[in-house]
Amino acid sequence: MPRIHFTPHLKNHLDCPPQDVTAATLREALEIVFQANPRLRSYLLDDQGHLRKHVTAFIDSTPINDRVNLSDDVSRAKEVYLLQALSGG
Amino acid sequence: MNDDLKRYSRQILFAPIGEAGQERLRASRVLLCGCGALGTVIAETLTRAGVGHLRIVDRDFVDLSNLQRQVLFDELDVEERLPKVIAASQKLKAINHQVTLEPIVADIDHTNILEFARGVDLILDGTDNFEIRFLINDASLETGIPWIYAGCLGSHGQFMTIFPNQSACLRCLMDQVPDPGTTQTCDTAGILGPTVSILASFQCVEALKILTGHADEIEPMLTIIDIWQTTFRRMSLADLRDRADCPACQHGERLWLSGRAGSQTTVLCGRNAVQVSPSERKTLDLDQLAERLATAGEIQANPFLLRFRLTNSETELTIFRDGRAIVQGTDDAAVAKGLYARYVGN
Repeated sequence: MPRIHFTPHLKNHLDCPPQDVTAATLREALEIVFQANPRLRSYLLDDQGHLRKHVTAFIDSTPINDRVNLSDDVSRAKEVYLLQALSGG
Repeated sequence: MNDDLKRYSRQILFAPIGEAGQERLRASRVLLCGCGALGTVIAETLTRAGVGHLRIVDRDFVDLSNLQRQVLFDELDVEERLPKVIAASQKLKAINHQVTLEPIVADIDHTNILEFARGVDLILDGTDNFEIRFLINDASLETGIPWIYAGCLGSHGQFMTIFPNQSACLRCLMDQVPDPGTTQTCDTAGILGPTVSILASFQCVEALKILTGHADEIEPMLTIIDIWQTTFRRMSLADLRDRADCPACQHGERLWLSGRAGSQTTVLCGRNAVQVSPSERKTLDLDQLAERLATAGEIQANPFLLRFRLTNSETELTIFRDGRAIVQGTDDAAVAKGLYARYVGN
């Protein structure tokens, strides 16, 4: 059962604490998270449901393979981490 | 140890660097893109460390809101409205005269980045927007020069070192610049000084490894920190380049370097300001422009720029000799372009 973590600056603006989910794929995992927090969807996914271009997902610290269908297996993962690129500097 | 190296004695005592590493550092040349929050920390650290040649390019001038985190600037620089690279190089010269400093007041874009990168061993990211980072990424892939990315916001930040055509590049990680309005900025999230200092320090450590002959000790990782929560994560990018089918590093696409991507206006993070760049480089006669604008508002000028505040308005244009203007008082690119056309011309 993976724990879904979100990049810290998302957490500052949306209520998205780490969440344990039971899911087979990344999309299933995210859909569970979106049920509790619908606003997260537009931050992470575009209109087609693909991962936004500036968002990256890591499963156990390794980047996912499928940014379109989000079909990566998370059933045995310990952690999924959603990261948004930072512009400041 | 010869006299020139004595000032670095504590650094030389650090075994991985030693005298040989220090000599390599002294022979090295670095391009620092941006001299703001990250950039000033990087510039100071590398100058103190004894890099041989530091070319610093920045388009901006010192503003009061910079002083909270941009460590090379002071209130006098704000009063004098000095370009950041000029103010920074004055401080850096006093810190270490052995370093050859090359401050350049310019906006880095697709027409000039390869010239700025000519002859350097490393490019450091001290910028504050995505467009220029993707441009640096293209330039790095084109020239084979490694670069070190960092971005920060609030209390968190991320960095990665990119060895072009060897490790994952920025586009392997993110294919495109975020759409407008889809990411937080300094305006909405703010930024802590220590966030910047820590990120820039990590960039400098990576730079020291590369420049002293320890590039092989850099792991292909994206490091993510949060200084408020005191968290530190490292994400493996080891096989990302092979898996990502990256248009830039696998297929040679240079969207930003070719000028096909990128805009003529840039909203400046946290400044309620927009930079407007002319489509072609030009050299403005600032004295003549000052005369022309005198009837329309208040003028303040120095040899590098002209500041023009419209009568009965909060709007202010800072116009540089190369034709760029920073329009303060709006974050609307269209409004800024209109003001530019009205007062500076096309």
